[in-house]
Amino acid sequence: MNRRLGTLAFRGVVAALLGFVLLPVAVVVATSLNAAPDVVFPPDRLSLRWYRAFLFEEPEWRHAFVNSVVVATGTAVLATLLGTAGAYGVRGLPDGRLRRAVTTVIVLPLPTPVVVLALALSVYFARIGVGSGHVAVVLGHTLVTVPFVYVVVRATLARVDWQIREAALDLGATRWQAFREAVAPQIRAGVLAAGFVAAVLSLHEFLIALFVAGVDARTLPVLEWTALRNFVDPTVSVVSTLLILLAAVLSVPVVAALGVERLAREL
Amino acid sequence: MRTALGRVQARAVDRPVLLVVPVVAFELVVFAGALVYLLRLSLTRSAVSGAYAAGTWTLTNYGALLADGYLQGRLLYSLGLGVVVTAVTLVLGFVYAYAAARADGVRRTVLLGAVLVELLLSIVIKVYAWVPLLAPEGTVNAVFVGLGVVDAPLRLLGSDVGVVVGLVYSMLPYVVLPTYATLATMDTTTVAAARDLGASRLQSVRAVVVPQATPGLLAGGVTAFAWSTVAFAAPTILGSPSQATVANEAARFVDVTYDWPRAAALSVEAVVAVVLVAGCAVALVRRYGPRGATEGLL
Repeated sequence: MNRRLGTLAFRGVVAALLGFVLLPVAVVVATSLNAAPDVVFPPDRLSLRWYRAFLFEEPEWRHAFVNSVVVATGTAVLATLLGTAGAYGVRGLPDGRLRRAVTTVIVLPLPTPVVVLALALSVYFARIGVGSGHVAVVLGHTLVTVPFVYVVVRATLARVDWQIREAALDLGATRWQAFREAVAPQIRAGVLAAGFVAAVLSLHEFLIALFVAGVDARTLPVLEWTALRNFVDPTVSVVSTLLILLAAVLSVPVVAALGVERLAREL
Repeated sequence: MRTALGRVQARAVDRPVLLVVPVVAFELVVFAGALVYLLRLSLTRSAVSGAYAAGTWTLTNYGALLADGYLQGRLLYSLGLGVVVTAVTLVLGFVYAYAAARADGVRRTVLLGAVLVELLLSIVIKVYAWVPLLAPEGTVNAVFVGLGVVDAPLRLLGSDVGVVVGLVYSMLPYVVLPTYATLATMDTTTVAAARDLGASRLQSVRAVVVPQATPGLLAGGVTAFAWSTVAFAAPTILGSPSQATVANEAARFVDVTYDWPRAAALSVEAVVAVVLVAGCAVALVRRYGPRGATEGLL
């Protein structure tokens, strides 16, 4: 009896925690559909008027949307190239200590407080002439997304069957051919997933974009922030909902490639 | 027949070690470069015109900082905020990760999927979503007053409570995911063995599960502490000026007073404080915690 009660209590706590995690998502989506101009949850009456306003009446938001997509694409490409090459190359290092040192260098930006990183990058980029355009934001976002790419690709490489490559070499393939035919197919899904993770993280990154980007390169989260500082506006909910949807669409191939369980373990 | 590109390809496949060069160079130029520049800037004199006097060396920024009672108070507040948020997030995150590890099939997918969905939200959205929930006329107060728990609406927004709720929410995935990763490989027969030997549910969790989860909890705890101590968005949107962290103060120096050297000095002091506190916690766990608990860290 006591035991059943304990199980029930545990389940209740877990259900409450699940609600805690999902409630804010519901709030954002629901308030974007509110007919009234104020942000209340749950909304009284539903309407798409704020979506219409966002799509057709607000050039500023559209501009920020384009910036976000440009930056996310650039970040995904650069971070995937750097992180994948690093993950592939680090296996060739002879010494375990050296391998750990490289990993540390690559992963170190993660525990660094992002605000400090953002402040440092903004003054540093201004000093060395990188400026405050798209390139600057892409470099900053690459810094914080490369660790994720590196970790995901290393996990993928750990599962590669290298004997297939040996067999290809024995059968007379060049090393490049052996890589392309025997290794690449085994890691393609993991690398692709890593790239999507980088794009999604960039799409939602806020602090680096806020401090580094000039007015012309402002991304959606930065514009949301600016809007929020003035007054709470359903447009922010609309933009947030669209960002969640975009991230969800981008996540489909990742989840398809890895599965929710593996993704949760490797991030 | 071997073209230049072919040779590069062959060499990259032959000597894959060279492939680490670009990413390491990138980290050195962008990451180390920026942090070294920040350190250098903190040792530069402020200038009346322009953000700083280039080429000067001085320790006055640190002297002024340590003598500034207001800013030192903000630093203490920030560290306290970090400790509270980390403690609450560790407890909730452990329960969540344990539930996910014990669940199977659809339940596990739902629990993990929810955390991954949350990971997809920007910090701005995560914090902003709590505004209509915590507002004086908001959902939480409506429920509390409706149930008769409180007579008048509580002041949740613009207070410590609001900031802590927003930060715990933001940090939860970073504790749940590494903890889940360590629990996913846990030997569940040891829990059953502890129960067979007469341990109660809580005893078996404390004696068997928590030690195994320690590497994940430690990694998540360090992240939660490092990020929430210098939180920037949550204090601004969910708090009031008396919830300002050192990050808000440093940003004010950059944006409002254009005093880059002071901002740099304050950032350096904050990072040193975070590293000291987190380092002490890790050292304590290494000394008194289960074996191998700190192996997952850098």
